[in-house]
Amino acid sequence: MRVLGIETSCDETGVALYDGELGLMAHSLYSQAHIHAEYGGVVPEIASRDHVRKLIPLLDECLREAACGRSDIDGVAYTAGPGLVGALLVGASAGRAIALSLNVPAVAVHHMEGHLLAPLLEPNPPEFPFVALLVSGGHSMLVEVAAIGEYRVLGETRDDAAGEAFDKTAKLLGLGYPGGPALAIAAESGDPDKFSFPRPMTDRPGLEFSFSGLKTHTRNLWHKHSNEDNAQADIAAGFQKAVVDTLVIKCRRAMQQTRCGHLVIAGGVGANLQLREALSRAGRKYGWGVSYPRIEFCTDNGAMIAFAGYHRLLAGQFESEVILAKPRWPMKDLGTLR
Amino acid sequence: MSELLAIETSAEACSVALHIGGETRERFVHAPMRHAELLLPAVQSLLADAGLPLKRLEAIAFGRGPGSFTSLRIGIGVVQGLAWGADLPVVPVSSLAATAQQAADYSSAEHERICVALDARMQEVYFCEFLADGEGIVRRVSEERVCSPAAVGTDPDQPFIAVGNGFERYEELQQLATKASASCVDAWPRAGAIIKLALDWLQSHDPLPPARAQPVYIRNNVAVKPTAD
Repeated sequence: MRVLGIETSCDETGVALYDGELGLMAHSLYSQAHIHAEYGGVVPEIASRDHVRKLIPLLDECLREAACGRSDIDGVAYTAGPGLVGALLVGASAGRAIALSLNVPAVAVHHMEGHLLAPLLEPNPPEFPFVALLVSGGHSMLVEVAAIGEYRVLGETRDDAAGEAFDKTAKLLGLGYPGGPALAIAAESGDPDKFSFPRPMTDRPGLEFSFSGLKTHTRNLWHKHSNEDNAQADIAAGFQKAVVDTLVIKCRRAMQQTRCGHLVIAGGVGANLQLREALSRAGRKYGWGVSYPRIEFCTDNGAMIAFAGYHRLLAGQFESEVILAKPRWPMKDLGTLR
Repeated sequence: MSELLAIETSAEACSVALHIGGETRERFVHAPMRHAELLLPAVQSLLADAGLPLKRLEAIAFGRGPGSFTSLRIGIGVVQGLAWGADLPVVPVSSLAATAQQAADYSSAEHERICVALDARMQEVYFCEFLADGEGIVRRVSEERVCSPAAVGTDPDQPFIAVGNGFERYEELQQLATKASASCVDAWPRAGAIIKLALDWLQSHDPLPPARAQPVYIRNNVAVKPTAD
């Protein structure tokens, strides 16, 4: 079975073709990040407008890359949520309509399930069960993955997502938007121990996150020390270390609690090299396997949606002709494959 | 005989029409915020009732706006998906012209301007003026624009027909409508009118590839860039 995947939940338009026997055949992505950068954050209406412009060219590109025709598509998977409703509707409308025109089934995919399963697209996929740390601009959560379709959320953020904290801190430090990668570069020349930073929510049990206090602490430090030499780099380094330490502590707890032997990192913050190194170190120390999707599949993409959709379609799931867009879609409402 | 499908979702109504064997069949429902739920089942049933596979169509026509951003994009997303999947070209039609066309179909008065004002929210209307030609097809005689009801600037002393909910929802336009020779405030853009205008368009144009199924918003100032601190 060959599945077309479409992702338009935020500011990336992604299209991919996944085949049950051949694996990932092609994927195409267009990121609008540079457009939203001028506004200091994602503007939903602008995101929706850009998805409408880019979707068809990406579909054409993806088919060309896969050297396959429309009639070779056996099913369509589209991201139905969570995300920006206007943006979701673009991919959902087109995706559901493509399925109707090809007379093949369509399935509405949960964006987070896509991220959780992205590591399975790699040559040496992790075995079940595993714990996934999902950290992006929109989400921070720890999820136990018993099998495809069987997820238990262990903890979520109470306020800002980890990536959001990175972006807002970068903006504060004058590093632009989206500033996560810029902050990581600035941090390279800083002393992470020059200033002290809290490790939020680590002094109490539980797997919840909270990053807004850390953000406020960073703002106060910046206002006090911004005129000092190297303050930007030192604060960036200290902030990054505080986030990384916090995530490592929570991951270790999740691994102890679930007794899983494997940790998977997904989401855009998973591209942060300090985080990757710290979690790999922790894995070696405590005896867990640690794996990451390739960096291009950490951020939003169509491949993970095609892959998740493939498994749901294979299990016999499909939707009626109604176009589904669910801006809020709790993971616990996600059905299993059986 | 060319067979066309038309989709119009730019306003509170959701409608689909099929032109087959020289006649037009239309499904129309006034159902705000329900386009995502109703549109594809309507397409499916209209094609099934006609026994016509999508691939046999010549093209898919669509209301390209202006109108409500979200519902407009649901219709255009569907047009993109159907056209791309079935490898069909598309025909864009102004949603304001489709609204005017209905007034032209009901009124026989020639040389009478048809003024269309559809509520654009934020105390503005989408506005445009049309005249019907000898074939009864409406032709635009002013720019399509989005403006405050007070700024439509149409001449009330020349005979005109007032069309669209803008003439009902804003006081300035209610007053203007009292001078109209006829008014039709509950007219919505409909897929049946899209078919008529698309057939006319196809007489002098080739249909466009699926990627050209794009909205025309008119209102483009949707976000403000932050100024440097």
